[in-house]
Amino acid sequence: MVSTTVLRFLLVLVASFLFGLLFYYVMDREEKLNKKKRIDEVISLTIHIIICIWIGKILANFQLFMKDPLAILSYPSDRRALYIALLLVSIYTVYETFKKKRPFRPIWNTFIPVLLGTLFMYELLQIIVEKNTYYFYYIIIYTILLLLYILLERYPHQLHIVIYSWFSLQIICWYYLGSIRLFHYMVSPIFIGLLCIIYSGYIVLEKKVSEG
Amino acid sequence: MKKWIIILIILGLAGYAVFDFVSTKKEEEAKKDEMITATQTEMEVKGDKEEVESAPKGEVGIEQGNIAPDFELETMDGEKVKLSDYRGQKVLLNFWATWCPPCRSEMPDMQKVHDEFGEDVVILAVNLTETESSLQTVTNFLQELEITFTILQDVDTMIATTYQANALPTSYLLNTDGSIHNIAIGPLNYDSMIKAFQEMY
Repeated sequence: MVSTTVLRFLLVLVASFLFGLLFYYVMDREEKLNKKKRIDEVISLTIHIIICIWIGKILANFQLFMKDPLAILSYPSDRRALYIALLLVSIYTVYETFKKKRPFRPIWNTFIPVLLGTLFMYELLQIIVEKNTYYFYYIIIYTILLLLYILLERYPHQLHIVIYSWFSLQIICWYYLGSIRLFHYMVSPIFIGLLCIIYSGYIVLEKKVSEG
Repeated sequence: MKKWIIILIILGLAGYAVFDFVSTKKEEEAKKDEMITATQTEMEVKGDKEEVESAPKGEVGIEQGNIAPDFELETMDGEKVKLSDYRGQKVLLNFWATWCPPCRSEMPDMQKVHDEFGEDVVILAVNLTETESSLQTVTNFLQELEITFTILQDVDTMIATTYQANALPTSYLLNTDGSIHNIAIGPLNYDSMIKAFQEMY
């Protein structure tokens, strides 16, 4: 029974991620070879995130981990682990970008559609497989975001509009449901606000770099 | 053309989700109505409102939607507690033991939920006392983690057997009418507990 529950959860995650990759692959206008390269990068980034969530889980419960390592390793990760993981992955990505002097934007351009596709399918499977109707509104949010992404395909600020819409819709959802959900994590609205500030900072920086 | 095909697929999938959502909601409503009608009939026959409220209608069992089987166990202080005493409140019925690492890890989060929600959510943690080396081990563990929610002693593992808690920890999330909202096998963390309580009625 345990294995069935865990296996079902993993299958939902894998199926969602594959849908995310497929969505990017169909939507992107780059050449096949480039697309494959980008997909490899996203897979590598996802593996980094998963490893960092495990590290985050240990760091968030470090005292208990020292006393009882098995207890923590068998414990599901919570939002603190996610925050730590995202921080570690961001540091690593920025370091890699500077070290290899490669542009940051391509990975970002690939990661966002993959993530949106993955989240859309994840919420859909939550309703169909898990019969979890409480977060039904998220399927509407991700449908709107995917449609925005597709319809603004040729628009230069496509990604900015999609990301800011995402932040806004998440905050509206928080207002009505009292929580913000990212996969099975219940993230804080402050976290969304912080992401919004960081993203705005990134846009300003990118503009200055391109101008000067 | 490709763009419109993708849009159609996404709208189709979202439409299916809406359809599934509406039919699930309808099923839930029908189930609730069925229970209300059965309770009203019972009230008319017996003419005893309190009696009827304490025994909700529905199939008793350990599957989602069933009414959780009632039991009586002793707390660590020797006080007798019945599951049906908590009708009208959301209940987290957890089966655990001190030798089980995931059980140990979820205890601080349960305490956090208990501190925050107080009487709104009842946590009943059923210890499989028969499997413990001694009762003192349990007491020491509870003191070490400063656990204040209700711990029950399942001395002959009868209740754990009834609830088929073969893998530890196992948690049953019970709605206010005593029906099983969800069964969680494996440890729950703070986020998943809050999520479950929001979904329960």
